[in-house]
Amino acid sequence: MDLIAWLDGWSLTGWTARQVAIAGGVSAALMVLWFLFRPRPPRIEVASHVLWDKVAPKRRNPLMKELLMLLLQLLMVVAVALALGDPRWSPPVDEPEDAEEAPAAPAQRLHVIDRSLSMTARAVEGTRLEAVAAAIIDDVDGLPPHVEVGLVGGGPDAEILAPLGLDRARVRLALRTLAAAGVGDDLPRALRLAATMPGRAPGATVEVWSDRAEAADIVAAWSEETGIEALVRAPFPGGGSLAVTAFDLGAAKGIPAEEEALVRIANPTPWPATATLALETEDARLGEAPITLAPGEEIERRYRFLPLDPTGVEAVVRDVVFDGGPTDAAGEPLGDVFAADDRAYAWIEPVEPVTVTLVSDGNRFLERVLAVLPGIQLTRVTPKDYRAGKKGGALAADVVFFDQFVPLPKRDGPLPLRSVLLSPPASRSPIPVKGAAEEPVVTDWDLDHPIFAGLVLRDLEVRQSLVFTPEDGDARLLGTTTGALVVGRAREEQRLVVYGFDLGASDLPLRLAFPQTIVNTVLWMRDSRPEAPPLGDRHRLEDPWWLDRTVQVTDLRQAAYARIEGDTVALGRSTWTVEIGEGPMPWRFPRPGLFTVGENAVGVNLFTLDESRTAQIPVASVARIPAPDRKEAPPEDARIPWLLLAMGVFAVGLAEFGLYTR
Amino acid sequence: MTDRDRDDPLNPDFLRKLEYLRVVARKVHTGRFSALQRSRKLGRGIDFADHRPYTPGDDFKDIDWNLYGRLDRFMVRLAEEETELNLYLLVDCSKSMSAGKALYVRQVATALAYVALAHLDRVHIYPFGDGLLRPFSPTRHKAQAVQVFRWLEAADPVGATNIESACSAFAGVVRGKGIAIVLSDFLAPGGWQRGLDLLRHGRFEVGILQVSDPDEADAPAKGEVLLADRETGSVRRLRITDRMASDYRKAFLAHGQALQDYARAHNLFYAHGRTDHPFEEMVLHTMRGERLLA
Repeated sequence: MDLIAWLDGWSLTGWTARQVAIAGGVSAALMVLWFLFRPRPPRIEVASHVLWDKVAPKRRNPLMKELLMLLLQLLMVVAVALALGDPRWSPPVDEPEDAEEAPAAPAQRLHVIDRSLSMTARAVEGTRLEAVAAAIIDDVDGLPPHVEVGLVGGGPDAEILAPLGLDRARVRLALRTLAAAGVGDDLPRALRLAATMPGRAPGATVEVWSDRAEAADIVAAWSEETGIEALVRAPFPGGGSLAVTAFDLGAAKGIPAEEEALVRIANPTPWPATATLALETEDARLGEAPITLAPGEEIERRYRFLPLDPTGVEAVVRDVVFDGGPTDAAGEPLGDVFAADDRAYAWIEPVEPVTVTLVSDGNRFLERVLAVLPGIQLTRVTPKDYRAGKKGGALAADVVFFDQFVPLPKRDGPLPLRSVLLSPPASRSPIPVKGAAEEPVVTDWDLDHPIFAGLVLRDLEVRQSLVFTPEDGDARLLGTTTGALVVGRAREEQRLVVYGFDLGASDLPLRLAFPQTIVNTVLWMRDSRPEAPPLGDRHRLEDPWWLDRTVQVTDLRQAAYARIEGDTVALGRSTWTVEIGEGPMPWRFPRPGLFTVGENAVGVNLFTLDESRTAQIPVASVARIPAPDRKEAPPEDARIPWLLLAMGVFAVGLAEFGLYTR
Repeated sequence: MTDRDRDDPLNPDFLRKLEYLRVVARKVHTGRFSALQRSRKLGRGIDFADHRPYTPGDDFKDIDWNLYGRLDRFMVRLAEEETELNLYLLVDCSKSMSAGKALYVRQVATALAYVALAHLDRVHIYPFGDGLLRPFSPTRHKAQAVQVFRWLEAADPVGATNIESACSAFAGVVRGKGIAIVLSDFLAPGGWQRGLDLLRHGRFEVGILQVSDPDEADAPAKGEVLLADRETGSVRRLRITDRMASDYRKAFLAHGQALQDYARAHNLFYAHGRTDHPFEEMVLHTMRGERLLA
């Protein structure tokens, strides 16, 4: 073998020649600059060199030693740069005589791997990504040693996982550490990256590994545009997945105050499904219910439960069975193959109790009714205390009952926004008083108004009452022949109900309708409070660009992801991220879960069906590319192991150290 | 006494102490003029030496009449004649003599000169560098010690230390015998032993006063340094390790020890003066202890 042929047998399998040249050149230039501008040692005057000549005999030329050290350092740089290039030598392949007629075997093979979240779906053994890695390793092991292999990772971010080269170990390492990169798959970008990969020859073949249904069409269009032959492969079966597409918690209306949970579950598969939906906290299960979904259906469920302390709640879909869905080799149904969308998270906030203030010298009917109503926080205040300024939180209360007392605005401050006046003095009534009536006959009541809706007050007896003349917009809740006995007013945020009679002067407290009247009154009043966002709305985090950069994000459920490995407990880590927010700096969380951002608790969820459509698997877009003939691997002694290079660097370093210390 | 007075070899207190000292020669040297030192000459003097028969021309005063009475012969009484002593001070004025060492040598030389001049001995100052320089011989009066100090003060450092060359030139020039004291750091690239041998063989009574700075005993620094030779101006680049510093310390001690061994082997005066010690200590204690002064 002549020298030229021997030199041609060398190729760089790690860094490219350009990268090696740049790295080596820059490092060498830095070393030369350092040599030229190195700090000089201090100059010290001594009486004579006589004694020093005895201690340290003179050398010929110190500069020669320094130049030799510089040369050795440059040699070290060259060795390291070469090591990064990982030079390998392969014996030259004997060209067949009819090489011109025979089709050239592909010398390069590029694998483009979809790393979107759906590739973590369960395959026959392990995940789809693991199945892809195993298939590529089999493929790589079957290739002749002269065929270069490269890996491109797709997903939300495309990147080169292993550059084109002969280094099989590097490809295997990249495949062993293959992990999902996040939500979404920018397949065209990954294909562009593959087409422009350094060192790619025109004859290189491209294999695309993806579970995306449109992958075949995208790759076919790309092949037609670029002229690069490509093959879409998916060495795993399809499988169904139910997805939680919405999960929200909020305060429910009613007495007592309750939490309300809204859950939406979608079935993007072509098979009907049954499953169990459960609401859980970290410590307890709040409840579970069976659900049934038709193909393509999305259902919504609302559940109420008693208020909890602030905590994280998870909506979990489990025990999923697809009727007629895919089965494994043993005929057992595969169930839900994609776990990431089966769980959603929300943070529960405390439900504020219903607060009622009663300003009265004593009203046993009202006090007893309010006392027995569940979830009501009652505060009693006498008119005297109210005048003295001890208002018992009346201004912030949901409802304030004024019994035979009306505060004077100038003396006692404004009337609370949500007030019920019982038998107010005629001179202070906010509703114009027409007069007084003895034993008025109830002729009508407003069944459409929330306060008296569904109640029967036909035979209500009232001994004495004021008669009001409602203004425009006021509701005549209870009336007699000459006017209104009870008037309701709703103006902007103000809610006001005025009873013209004392409860003790009527038989209303003795009727079954009385507690309901009070409950209706409280609920009507509470409805006037500012509306909370409706359940099911997606709450997005504000774009963080204006936030303090030191804001801390804490995973509240990190312990829940711990898995036991032997005697150690390792924290489970997902490699994909979830983007929230649409600004220039969207939030990125490592996975769905419960997090605190600064002082706010945040439930981070997928809430997208893009990754949940795991049922349809694309078919190959072109025929299987024939593997080149298998050839024997080059003997090990024909390669330069890294060890030799490392030993060379070490030896050169040792020589320099020896020179330096002599 | 101020520091300035202490550094001044001519301050009255110190001179008063020097008045009581004299230079002691281990051998008997014969000077040209009469003075206070013993000599081999027999003639007039105080100490009796011998008798000899009278010859015409002898002074009658020298006839021992008592002996004539016993022997009936004229015998002339002879006495040891007292002559002057030549003190040669070879002062190192090379560039290796730092300001501290030069001052120290100047002070000691001045003190020795004062002691010698006070006893009517003759003092000769021979500065040297890479060769013998112009000498200075003050007249025999102790007041001339001032001139010695000023003359040495005015001498510029010159060249490298070449003791052999200086001593060879000195032995060729100086015929008279006496005490030759070499005041130097003895850091001579060509060595010092041959030069001292030349002095010894020239029948000079040789004295060695080694002078060193305190910081010369140790390596000046650790690590990478450029060592500039003050005498030659040459620069050496050295990486001073702990071991090298230790070797240097040993070499410095060996240098002094070699001088001391040489002096002991040939019964010479040797003293080592450090510039951080007062020179009076050298003059009043060390030199008296070594019997150069008495």
